[in-house]
Amino acid sequence: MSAAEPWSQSGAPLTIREADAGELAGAVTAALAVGARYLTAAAADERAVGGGFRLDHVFRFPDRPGLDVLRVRLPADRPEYPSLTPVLPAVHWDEREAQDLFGITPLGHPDPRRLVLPDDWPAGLHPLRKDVPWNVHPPCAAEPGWAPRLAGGEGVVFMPVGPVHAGIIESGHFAFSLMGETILHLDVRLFQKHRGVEKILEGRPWADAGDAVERTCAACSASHQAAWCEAVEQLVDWELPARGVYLRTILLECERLYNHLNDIAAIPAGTGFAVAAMEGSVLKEQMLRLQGAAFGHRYLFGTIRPGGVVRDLPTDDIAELRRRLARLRVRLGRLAQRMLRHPGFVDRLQGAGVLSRRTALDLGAVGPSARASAVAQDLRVDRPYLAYRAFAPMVVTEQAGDVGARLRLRFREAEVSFELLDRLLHGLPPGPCRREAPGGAERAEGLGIGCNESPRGANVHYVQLRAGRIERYRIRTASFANWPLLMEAVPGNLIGDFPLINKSFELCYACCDR
Amino acid sequence: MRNDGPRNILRRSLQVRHVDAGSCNGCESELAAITGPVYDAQRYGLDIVASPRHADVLTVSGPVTRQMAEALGRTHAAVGQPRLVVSVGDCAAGRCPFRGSYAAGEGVAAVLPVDAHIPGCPPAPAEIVQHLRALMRGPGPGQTAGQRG
Ligand code: SF4
Repeated sequence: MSAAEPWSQSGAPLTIREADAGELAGAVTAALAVGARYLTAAAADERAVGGGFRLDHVFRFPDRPGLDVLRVRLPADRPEYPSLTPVLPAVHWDEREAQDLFGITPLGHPDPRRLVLPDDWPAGLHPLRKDVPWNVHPPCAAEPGWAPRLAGGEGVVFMPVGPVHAGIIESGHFAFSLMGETILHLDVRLFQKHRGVEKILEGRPWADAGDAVERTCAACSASHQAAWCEAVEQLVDWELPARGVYLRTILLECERLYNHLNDIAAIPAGTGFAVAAMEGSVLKEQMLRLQGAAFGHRYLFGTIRPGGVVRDLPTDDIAELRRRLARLRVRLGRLAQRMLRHPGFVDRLQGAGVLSRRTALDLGAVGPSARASAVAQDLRVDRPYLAYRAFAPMVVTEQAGDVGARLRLRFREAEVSFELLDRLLHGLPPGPCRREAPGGAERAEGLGIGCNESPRGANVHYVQLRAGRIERYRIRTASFANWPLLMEAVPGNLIGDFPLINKSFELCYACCDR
Repeated sequence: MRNDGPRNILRRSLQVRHVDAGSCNGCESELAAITGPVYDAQRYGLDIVASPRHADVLTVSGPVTRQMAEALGRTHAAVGQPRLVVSVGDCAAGRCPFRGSYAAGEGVAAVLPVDAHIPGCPPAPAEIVQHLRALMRGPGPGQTAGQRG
């Protein structure tokens, strides 16, 4: 590791270790054996600076505060390596993505189909390579670049759904193989909303990334802003004022809360329990209004910027905010009673869309979807950041891994968030909410990694700067990590329960597709 | 008869089908709220319908990604005539931070005739309802809904 390598916000350095392509699987296996947790992977094109391609895998070890980067360099003329998926199944989509965007081949990948690029994109053109312009619009390929994987057998029916859905739902395509009403197999074709976010960011000064980063996904906007800021702040040793740290944490916790309210409302909607769905959507709307009034935007766009937060919270508003949150908390408690004591409703949730603990661990599940399958992990506690260092939240888990477990988990986590928000608002320290950049920040260099626990789980931003400009930006969101779980959780369930199961995972498409 | 033009068909009821053509999900979140208990757009005769075949109006959010362009075109073609297209949110109007990238388009107007636009990032539910209700009063003779602003 060179001396110029950066520091994380927690004051611990990134450790970069180089390996040969042939040693990669062994090094990863050894890391996993001592409890390392996989966070993200990022490919980069270094041909213009005399190299080939670079492939980083980022891990967190349980006994170290910093993050470890395992780096492999691949030759420009033959960028290939033995697929890591057999030893680390969580990377299966990362590998397919790097194959699409960089032309890096994971040899022996069990499902090397196209993942990210549009169906009509010509083969052999990899838009994140540096010699491909950001605005390239190649002519359509003759053959579609993607075909569904279906279950075979007599009487099996194929049912394609989407990308346009019946409700107001993001665009995505589902390919069901059905036997009668039972789902045998599900394949998904996401990335309908792929917008080239990462390419758009390249070449920009780090300070100009905010408008694009926060619009990666509205539902996780504060989490995206915070991850971008953390990456930049660690690169330039930017210390935040205490009030900025608290306010940023408050924004992140508000985001979790309104998302949990949204998801709590969506589950009864999936069973036809209208009263509960309506009450849940009222609570979500109240939370959005509260955010609009307190922070200037219902979805928290434009609130978090490097150095702190954009807008301070006036003292008078704090008391009012605490009162409004307290009222919401009481109402949510009543809704929880009404929903969880309704036998017909609870019956629908029980045993639906079960994700086993084993599968959750194998596929690298994150967030509520992992915790509802008895996997106790939460970056707020596992790698404390911001005010979570002083206010460690309780990590809630459920055992059953079904729709009911994911619903109960969100009720319990919302309770924890209410408690946390009240303590943060009560203890908000005085002083400025943002600090100026340290000298030389505009020429910052190196790799910064920002990560936090978004409402859906780990959200990791990998930011490589050169002379103050973004060289490579990769965003690995919780939804990207968790979409493959859905494919494991639905077989054996009735097709009519699919919307309910899907809602219980409540994954973002925009976050995943970028 | 349904071929009298929007002015005559959209007086008391407006059936809306939505297509997400690459949004950040902010516009969808606000659109979904309009039929909820707080904004309750059904009381004005407005509703979100499950099929484009039931719709008078197609709302579209996002810059129109390369992958969604075909599905958007086919959904539009499935809406019976006469039909209106309303772009929702700044991205759909071509003011998207990802506009013009290899995967994102230039906005809805680049691929479909747009009759009206609802500005905002995202537009609040009350604004969406207000704009859609303005369509229901119908444009005057010789005008499109878009020209009335
Ligand atoms: S207009 Fe704003 S809220 Fe709507 S899709 Fe675009 S970025 Fe998201």
